[in-house]
Amino acid sequence: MIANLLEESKRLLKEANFDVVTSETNQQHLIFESTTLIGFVIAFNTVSDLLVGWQEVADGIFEQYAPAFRKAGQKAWNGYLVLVTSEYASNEHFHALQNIEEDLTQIRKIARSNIQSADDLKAALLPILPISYIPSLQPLDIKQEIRKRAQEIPTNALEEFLSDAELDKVATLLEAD
Amino acid sequence: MMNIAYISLCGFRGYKNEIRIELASGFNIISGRNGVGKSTLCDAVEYALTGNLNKYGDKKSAGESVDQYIWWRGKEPAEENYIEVAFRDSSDNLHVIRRSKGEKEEPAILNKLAGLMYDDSNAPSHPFIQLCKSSIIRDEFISALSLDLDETKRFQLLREALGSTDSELETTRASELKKICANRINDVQRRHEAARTALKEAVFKIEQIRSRMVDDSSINKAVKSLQDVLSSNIPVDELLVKAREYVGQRKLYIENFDLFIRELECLLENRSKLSDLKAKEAPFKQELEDVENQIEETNNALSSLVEQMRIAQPEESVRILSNIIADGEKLGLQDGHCPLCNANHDYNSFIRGVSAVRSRLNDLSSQVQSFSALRVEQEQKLLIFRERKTLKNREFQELQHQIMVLVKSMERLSSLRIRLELDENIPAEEAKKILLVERERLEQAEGSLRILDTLSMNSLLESATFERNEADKKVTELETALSKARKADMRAKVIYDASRRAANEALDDRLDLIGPLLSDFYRRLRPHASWRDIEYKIRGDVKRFLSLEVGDGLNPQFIFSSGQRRATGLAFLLSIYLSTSWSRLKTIILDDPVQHIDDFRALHLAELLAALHMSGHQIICAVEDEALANLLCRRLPVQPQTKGVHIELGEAPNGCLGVLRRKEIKSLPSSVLTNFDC
Repeated sequence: MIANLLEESKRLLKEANFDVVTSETNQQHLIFESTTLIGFVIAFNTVSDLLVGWQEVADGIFEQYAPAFRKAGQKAWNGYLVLVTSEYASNEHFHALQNIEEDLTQIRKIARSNIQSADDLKAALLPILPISYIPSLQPLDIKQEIRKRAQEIPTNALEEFLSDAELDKVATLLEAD
Repeated sequence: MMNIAYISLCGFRGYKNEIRIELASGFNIISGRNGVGKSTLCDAVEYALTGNLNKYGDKKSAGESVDQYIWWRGKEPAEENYIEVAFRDSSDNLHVIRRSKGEKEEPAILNKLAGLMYDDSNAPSHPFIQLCKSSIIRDEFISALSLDLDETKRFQLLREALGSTDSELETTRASELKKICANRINDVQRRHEAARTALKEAVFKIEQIRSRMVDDSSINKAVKSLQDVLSSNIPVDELLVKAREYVGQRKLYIENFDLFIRELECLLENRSKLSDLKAKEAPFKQELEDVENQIEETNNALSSLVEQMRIAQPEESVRILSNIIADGEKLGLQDGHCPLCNANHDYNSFIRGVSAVRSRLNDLSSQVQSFSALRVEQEQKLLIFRERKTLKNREFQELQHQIMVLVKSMERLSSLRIRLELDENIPAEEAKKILLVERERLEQAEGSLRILDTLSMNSLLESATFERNEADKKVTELETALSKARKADMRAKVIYDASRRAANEALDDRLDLIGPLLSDFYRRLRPHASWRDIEYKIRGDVKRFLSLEVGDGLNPQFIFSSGQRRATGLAFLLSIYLSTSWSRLKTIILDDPVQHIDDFRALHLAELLAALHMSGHQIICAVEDEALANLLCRRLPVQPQTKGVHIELGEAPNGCLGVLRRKEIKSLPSSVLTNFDC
């Protein structure tokens, strides 16, 4: 359970190289910015609070930062409004939150409930977070893997098999005691 | 790490004129309406690396294939036909692949590029083809090679991306080894079965020989018996020789004796018949002579008659006289003179004369008839006599034959009697008694000989025992060989199992490693509002499948819309691209990836491409929609070291395709919000 959604969001965004500032004006919120993105994170106590109050809070923030948006030019199009709550959403509320996200007017919105852990929060912020995990697959020594799994086979026969020797020769070696 | 620096082409696909597109190392958004050659840029990269266009597969139409449509086919020929793709390494050196129309040989630079473009130790077979498959995401492939792909092919795609195909080679090799060992077992089993059959036969033969062998007392009795028969005390080995000669001779003797008795009995039966036959012989001869005499007499009579008729010629006289009478009567008396002899006649004397002549004619006619009847009679008699002679002759010959048969029989009998050294008049009953005694002696000799013949069974038994021992040895050898073959087969199965498990487990381990990435990309593209996570599962043991599940074990293939399936497929293909760890080409090329995808999910794609770009990947994305191109240009980050460009393709005023506009994307202002002072 996350004690403070904004603080945890701040930590995650900073980890992702965003500049993050906490603003106490209007409802407490985070301002974050990268070379391409700008955005806000607002935390609500309940899903209902979020659904009822998000537009008013958003309007207040847009009004407050209007000069900055104008100055941002093209960057203003890359704005994000992240609305989060730790409360679990009913099915009805889940779809209401979905509708907020799919409404592409004004600003890109991320509206998520049930943010209980850092992973939940990370999943919510995923659209703006960098790819955190790229697997590094090391070369596979399949012969060594086979050796591990065929220890009961006489070594010389197994090595001949693995060294691309004639299979007839390998078969003969396999007959040895 | 490598990316693409520029693409230059001329007379390739839909481009007649030369076009050179300088690409930014960051992102490149290429826009333009349908048919302006956006996909051709993907084709150029693929053709440069592989010399082929995989998107058409082996498709043919009306006898033509894609090979005939690689180069410009417009009305006016292009000045040149080539493509040139330059790859940039991490030190900014360019490596240019150029292919021209008609060139058969692979560009030499490909060998040098191989080491730069991929990790050879971990790459699958045909790495450039695989590299294109994972790095060039075409509109056609998004649906065909992603969610709509069957599970086996999807697994294949994943395995090739993960570069663990070497394990397949080992598994195939192990499978072949298993087959060889199994064949060896079959071969040894066949030979073992044959050896066992030979052993059984050898054992059976020994039993047969043993059953024919007898004990010593029987042998002694047989020797004594033979000595009695032969009336001789010669040693056993000589006795056997003599006995065999004796048996041979006696068999012939008894055969002749049998014949003698048959002849004797036959002769006794016919002895009286012979004298009867001989008694008939003289009368038969007399009868035959009588008949011959009769024939001769009749012949003489007939000849005499014929002679008389020849001399008298009564038939001719009758004819002439008849004519004279007819002529005389016809002419009648001529002036008191006969018209034939001119003698003087009156009518009456003439008539009398004619009547006298007619009477004479009648006498002659009677004489002719009498001669003819007599001749017929003689001829019939002759015929009868001759038939009688033939019959008598036949009967006489039969008689002589019967006599001859009996005489010959007697001669044979005499000859046999002499040969058998019998008395001249030995009675048949006496002869039969002698024959009976001879038969008993022969049987006694043969029986004794059979018993003594078993003495030679020892060598046969010895030979059969040798054969049995050899067969037994062979069976034992083959038992050992079979045991070894089974051991090898079992071990080959262990190797096969180890190879398969190594391959499967290695792949499972790798999938575990890339699993989070697959889930991450799915979450970012969010194809479905409710099912925000997807699970990738490898199933099957021998034939393997990669299945996708959402929610409670649901298959997204059957519940997602086409747009959602495309988004899911795109997430899969992008994760495949990023999982291709053996590749050193850090360029992802997307050709029209947003067809059928709504704005909301297009935005997700832009976000994902931005994240990819931030991870150091060069993005080349072709889109038709200008607004989407602008969104991508805005959303993808421009960084000092990696620029971004927006290239607009279209038709130039001269009607040829080319670059209409190339715009470098400027960096967005920084800290506009975070430094804003409320």
